[in-house]
Amino acid sequence: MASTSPKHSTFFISFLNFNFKYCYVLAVSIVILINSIQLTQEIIKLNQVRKYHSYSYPGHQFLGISSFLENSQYIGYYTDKNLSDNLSARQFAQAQYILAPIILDLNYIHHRYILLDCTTEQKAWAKIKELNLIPYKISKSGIILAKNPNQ
Amino acid sequence: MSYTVPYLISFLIGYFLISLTFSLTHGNQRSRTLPNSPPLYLHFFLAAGLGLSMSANIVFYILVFVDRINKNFSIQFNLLLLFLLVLAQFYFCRKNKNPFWKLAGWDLQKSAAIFLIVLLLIPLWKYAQLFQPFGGWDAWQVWNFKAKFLTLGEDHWKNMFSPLLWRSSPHYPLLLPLINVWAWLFLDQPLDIVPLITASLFTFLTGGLLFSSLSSLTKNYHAIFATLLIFTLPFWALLATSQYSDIVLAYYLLASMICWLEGSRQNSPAYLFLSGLFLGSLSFTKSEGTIAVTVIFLLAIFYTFFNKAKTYDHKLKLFFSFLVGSAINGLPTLLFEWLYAPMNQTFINGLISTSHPASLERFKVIMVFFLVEIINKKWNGLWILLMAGIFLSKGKGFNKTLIIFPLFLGTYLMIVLVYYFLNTYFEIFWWLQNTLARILFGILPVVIFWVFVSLEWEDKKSRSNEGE
Repeated sequence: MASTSPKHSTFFISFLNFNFKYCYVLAVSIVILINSIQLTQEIIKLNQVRKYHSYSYPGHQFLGISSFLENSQYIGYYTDKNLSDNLSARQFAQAQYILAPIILDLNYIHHRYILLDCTTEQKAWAKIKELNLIPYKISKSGIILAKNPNQ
Repeated sequence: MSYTVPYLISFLIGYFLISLTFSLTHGNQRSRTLPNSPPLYLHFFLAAGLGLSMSANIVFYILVFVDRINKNFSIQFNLLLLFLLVLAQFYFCRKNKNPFWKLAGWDLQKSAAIFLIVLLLIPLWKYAQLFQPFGGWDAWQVWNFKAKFLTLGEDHWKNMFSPLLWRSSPHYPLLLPLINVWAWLFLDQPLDIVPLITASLFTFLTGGLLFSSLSSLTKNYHAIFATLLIFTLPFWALLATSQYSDIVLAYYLLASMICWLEGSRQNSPAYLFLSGLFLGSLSFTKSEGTIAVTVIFLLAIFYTFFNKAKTYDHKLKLFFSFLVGSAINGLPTLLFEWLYAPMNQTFINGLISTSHPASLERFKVIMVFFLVEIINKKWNGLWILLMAGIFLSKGKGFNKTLIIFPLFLGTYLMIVLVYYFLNTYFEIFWWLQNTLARILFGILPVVIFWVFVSLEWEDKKSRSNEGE
């Protein structure tokens, strides 16, 4: 069988290179196209959802509380929620962000101010009674800021 | 208007710092074998990120000296630095007979491509506004929280390192929070829109840097595909606009590697100095950035001193440029680690712990999870496509010039996987699920850059063979 001349083999390799390069560009273009369609679909879907359900940021329930805290650097935070649970942990993290630079301490008993964020308002009131706290401010969502007379 | 001023000041600082670096190191050479500045578009995209890190560093130094964020000092020192850089650049331009403000290299096609990148930011911005206007979980728990703490914390800002805030990773470096603090200094209050602007800006800069570097290096407009690949990916859009430090890490890592490649390719002290500056900033982004810096730094030493083509004096000069750059922008990290950073409370050494031992099972989970993540549908086959690209480059991605890329990526990923194995504080499934994709996100622009350069490298070689 006659061997291919160097000139022919170079041509063959460059032909393969040519195809590979353009095949690759084509593959990249297809991925870009798929990405673009998915991104557009997601934006349209989100846009429709937002027409009926505005973005909720649970941390906003804590807005304005810091103005009642008289330069406190730490306050107590009492909750009967399970902070391993995603929703409760999220609310706690957002509360911490909204109230920064005030630090929320889960070891609440040693602080002058205690924020009570409970599953029901009744549970918060029961805790206030149990610890002899003085209720100070109540938010619309049932979060209670109380003073600890012993501190 | 107030939103744009800090970013504009930083951009000008970065622009003139890069110009001055080139004027000082390349400007006075007789033969003019080295460029007197980077290509125009690359210059812009490097300048914006470099300037932001310089501004953040100034805010940090003032924080260290005055023990609180000081608005007036921070703005004044930034303006002073800008003034000094302009003055020095003016002097050297006159001395070396170079233009003061360069517009040569302006190109209609490249400008159109960058305009396309800007247009693509609109859906990303819309996506962020609709899906997470206040960022993702770590935005309010870690990055924006720290920025707010620094801004409003006055003289008790160090409370942010309290063990009570272990969920906010107090040991993490502060570059992103300080950039947001810098932008907030021009406003009356820390508005939530600023971190979103910063995240969007870094997303734009990463895409622009990818395009401008690839197009100037390969002289091929396929470079725009690299940016489109990431900008259109929904998962990229999600993470890039989450207001996390991962996009900042991705930018500084890419910038450092690009400058390193240009520096070693052209034997340019200016590029290596810039590479060092970006590397220093990278170390201040997050813990993974510090790991990446260590790996790149060690590789740079080996690469510089085992390169046979250069004289020993020249090797020293190049390495010294890189070292000085790294030291200048690495200083805030060293100060932070030395003065403030608390111990990592979320670390248990699984090799010595009896309660949380690092088991073989954990190792298997990590390896399987890593492989599954690569083919996860959220990436839309991107990693497979990139691996195919490297395969098609027929080894060019592993040549002497580009070898630092696979060596870095391999070593970095290996260290990260070892860390997953070693630190048994977190339940491994939860941890991998929440963080591994972000590790890959951070290195993605560098991988895309490497693959595209490798492919085009082959074309150049082929063209020269055909010419022969």
